[in-house]
Amino acid sequence: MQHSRAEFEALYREHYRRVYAIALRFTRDPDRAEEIVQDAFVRVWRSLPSFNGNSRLSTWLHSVAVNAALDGVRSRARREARLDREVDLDRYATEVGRAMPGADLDLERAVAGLPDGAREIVILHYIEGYACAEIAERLGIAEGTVKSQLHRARRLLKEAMA
Amino acid sequence: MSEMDREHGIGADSESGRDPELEARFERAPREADPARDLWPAIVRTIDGDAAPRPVPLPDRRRFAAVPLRAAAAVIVFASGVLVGQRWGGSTPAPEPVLDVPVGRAADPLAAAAEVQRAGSAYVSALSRLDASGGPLERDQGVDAALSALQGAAYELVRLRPDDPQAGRILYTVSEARASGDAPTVRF
Repeated sequence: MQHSRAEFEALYREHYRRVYAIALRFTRDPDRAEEIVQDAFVRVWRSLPSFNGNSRLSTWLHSVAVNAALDGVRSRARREARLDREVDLDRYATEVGRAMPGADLDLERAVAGLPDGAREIVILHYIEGYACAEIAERLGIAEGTVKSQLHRARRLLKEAMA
Repeated sequence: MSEMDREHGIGADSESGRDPELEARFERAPREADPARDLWPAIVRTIDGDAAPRPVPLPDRRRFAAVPLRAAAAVIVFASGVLVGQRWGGSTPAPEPVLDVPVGRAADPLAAAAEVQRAGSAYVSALSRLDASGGPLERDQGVDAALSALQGAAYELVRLRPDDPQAGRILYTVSEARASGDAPTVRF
């Protein structure tokens, strides 16, 4: 399937905010989130010729964005484990306030403070709308693990927002 | 709930311990966010880079012409080493050149790309010889020199493509590895 540059730009303009939101929540780092948006759309451009049209373009693009964000988070986690770095949650909250007017900052902070595995699952389930079985498949873990992480995350979120 | 959310079936299997209040808060959470800058130009630069023709190997005639130049450069470096050794006459031999790649100013973009390709091959081939070239001290020195060259190359990549995330990532990783003294683990 051939797409012109103009069509691709229209696709970008329609979806980049959604992709940035995903990337920002996953990484909690505005700079890294911008890199992931770029990476995701470059992946989309490179994969467009092989897009078979069986799924909706927006669903496919969303999936590519989530994969790019997950890849980004994992490579960063590996690097941070080596360098003993911490995420700056104050900077993240400031960026959420700027980039997502009307966001529930207590909720966003609480989600951002969750442990890595639980945070990814909460974002995928509650915000991105994935079912537990899909999350399990995407992350390569058991569905029971997803459910128990969600259970634990709900408790942690309530404690954080109490 | 958005159409996309319905496609994925949010909440369809979260019945164990559902929390309607929490779900309602998530339901209201924005699904879109505005980056602080326009990211489109950087994306265009990257995909334009995809479309650019890849450097092609030199035609045989030019490759043939390059052989005497490289040989001459190698002879000059070797002869200099011998002269230095004879003049000072010590037991320590003059240092051998690590790379015998002639460094010149490329006349055109094709030649510049070919030069990068040649230097890259020589760099990798010199690295592959490190293991057999001496003890751990020499190897560490070689690795340090290799990392330094890698960092220099990464700086140049970032200078050439300031908005390319991959170039930035390479520079960041190599710089961090050098700063922390870790063994380099470069992932792309």
